[in-house]
Amino acid sequence: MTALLAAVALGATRLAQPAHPVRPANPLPAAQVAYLTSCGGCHGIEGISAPGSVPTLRGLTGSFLCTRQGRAFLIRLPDVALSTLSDRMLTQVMNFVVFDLGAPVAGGRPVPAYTIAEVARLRREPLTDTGLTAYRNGVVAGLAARCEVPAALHVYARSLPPAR
Amino acid sequence: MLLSSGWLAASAGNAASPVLQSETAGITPFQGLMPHELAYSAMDAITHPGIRIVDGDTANIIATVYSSEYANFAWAPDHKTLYVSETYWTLGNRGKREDVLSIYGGPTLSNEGEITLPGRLISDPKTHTFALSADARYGYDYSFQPAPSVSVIDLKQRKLLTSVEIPGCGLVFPFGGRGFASLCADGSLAVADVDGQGKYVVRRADRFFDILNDPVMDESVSDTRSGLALFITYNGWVHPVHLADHPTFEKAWSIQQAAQLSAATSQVGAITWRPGGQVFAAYQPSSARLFVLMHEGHAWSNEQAGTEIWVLDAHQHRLLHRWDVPESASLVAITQDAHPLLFALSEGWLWVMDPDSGAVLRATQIVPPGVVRVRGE
Amino acid sequence: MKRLGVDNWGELLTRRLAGRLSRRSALARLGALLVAAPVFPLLPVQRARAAGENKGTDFSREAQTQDDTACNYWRYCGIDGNLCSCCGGSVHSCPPGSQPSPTSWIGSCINPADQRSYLVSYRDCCGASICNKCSCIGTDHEMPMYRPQANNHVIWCIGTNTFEYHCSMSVLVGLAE
Repeated sequence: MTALLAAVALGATRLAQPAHPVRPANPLPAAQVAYLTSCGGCHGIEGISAPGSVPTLRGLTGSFLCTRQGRAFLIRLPDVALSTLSDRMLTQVMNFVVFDLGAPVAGGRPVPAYTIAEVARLRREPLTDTGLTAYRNGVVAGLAARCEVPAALHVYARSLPPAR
Repeated sequence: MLLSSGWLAASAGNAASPVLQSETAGITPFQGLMPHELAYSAMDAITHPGIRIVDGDTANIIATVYSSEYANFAWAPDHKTLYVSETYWTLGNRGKREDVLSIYGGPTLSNEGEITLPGRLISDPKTHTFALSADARYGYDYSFQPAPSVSVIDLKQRKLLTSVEIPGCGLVFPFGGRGFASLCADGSLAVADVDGQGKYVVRRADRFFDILNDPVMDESVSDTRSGLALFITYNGWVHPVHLADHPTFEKAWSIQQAAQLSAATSQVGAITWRPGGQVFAAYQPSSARLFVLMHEGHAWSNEQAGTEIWVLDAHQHRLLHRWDVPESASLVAITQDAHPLLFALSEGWLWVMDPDSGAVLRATQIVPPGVVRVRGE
Repeated sequence: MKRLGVDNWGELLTRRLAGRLSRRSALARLGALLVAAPVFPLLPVQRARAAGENKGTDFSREAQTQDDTACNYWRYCGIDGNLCSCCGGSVHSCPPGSQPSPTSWIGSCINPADQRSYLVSYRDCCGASICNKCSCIGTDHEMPMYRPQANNHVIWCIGTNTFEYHCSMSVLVGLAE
């Protein structure tokens, strides 16, 4: 028994370090955690996804705050509006998506952040009964007409065939 | 009786053959999927893909149809026409992608061409990613690009009718002649009504289950003809829903309570009997019997194989029998005829059982199964 | 993605410890198990934490932190498929011949060493033929197909030019505070 314990102790010493130790792991704020578990898998940890597969958020979502329709659109998206997140957490997440991931915002015009009351109101009208792609294309055309938007945003204004 | 190969017969014409052959090679005719047969696709990437038909009365192989990996399939009500939803790439793991609905039929279950699809979900085999309307006029194929949609295929005209966008939802449960329901990520149901020109309306019903703590399982059962769906949760709650343009939701009942046990919870450390496996449930509408693979396990063990099949009366919400499964099983199926056979499947075995006594009648080795279908489903 | 190799991970753990292993690695694993369940007296901080937090999930209570080729490695609470650590890669790198998918699902697992919750990204490596080693399936808080952001049966190769599944990683995103 002693020999076994000795052998185990030796083994234990060699393996004292866990595989891939987590310290230091970056602590993530709650809004980022919610973004990552609800959206990040497809939209990317930094809001960057493979072209042609998932709409890119990074550097683009801020443009949607240029028009009232665009600002409402982001909250009325079914996956946003019908998310299981509370109004409070959803508001934090969407402000993260727009102001942190999505800058520049509104073509440089000063716009307020989403408020909880605003998000609560908008999410009661999810865009579930309309062709989403076509609707989005219209919204983006409106943004481009009103503000300076990044060139990459224009890809969403074109009429896209069903994605492959 | 063999059907002679076409060209042999043609070349022979009416002249006597110069070589008197004892036999010529033909093709065994396909009788259609018979009441005691089981058709199953393969679990991907670890075995040869394809759809195999096994006779439950003899455990013999009846027929095999080729398919890609990640395929799904459905039978027309004639039991002879088979639709296979599948995806190929021209260079195997790369190249031009081809999503198609292949058609098999005729006296020898041969390929009759394919219909191009605009895209498809690529996933482990799941029953409710492809289904037909009750009259087989339409096929419904759940697509995930990753924006979710359902391709509605006009099977008579052999072309895509429309793609129905179903944001935040997935899977297809057809009902009536031209509608289908999908389960949604927030715990609700979406119902689509598609007209003959491809115009559609999607309505969202209210949330009826707690998605974060006790979701409805993908492999819940549904009877297209009657429109009755039994949406079964990880913890064993059965939500009967009558699918319609405006669906009606019956009060949920607990499988465990039907067996005189306490209802299961998601609490850590709570070990109890729970539904689980791959295709974990089967339903026979004519007898209202629900067959569920059950195992003893903790919460979130919904994919653990079952050691028992519980037979439940879905109308009276009570347990009729508990049958032991040889070893353990991850798939279950029940034939829809008057003297049914009960099938239990593991990764390597198919057991044919008597649903009334639990007796194991015969067994045969199989390739790892994916989706299973019987005649009349 | 991916699938059954066994009917439950408990059986798999037993299988992995029995047979097929050299004596040396068997001893190493035995040592690992003993370390995971501390033999030595806990320090005051650890003792307080262990007493105060009757936490964890059914998975994390049985998990370990030493061996990333075993299904009960703490990061694999929601993994489904073959472990890239057994295929020439690691928890955060694809084996040569395959490429990481930009899409995945992101879950959280509890590290038994500190009982804290960490976000992990279950990214698949795509393009090479299936590895077929170390098949694991963790279903801790795994959601059905219609809630894909937490589902591991979708083939997460969307965004690559291929859907050939090779293996799965578990990439640490950060500490969920």
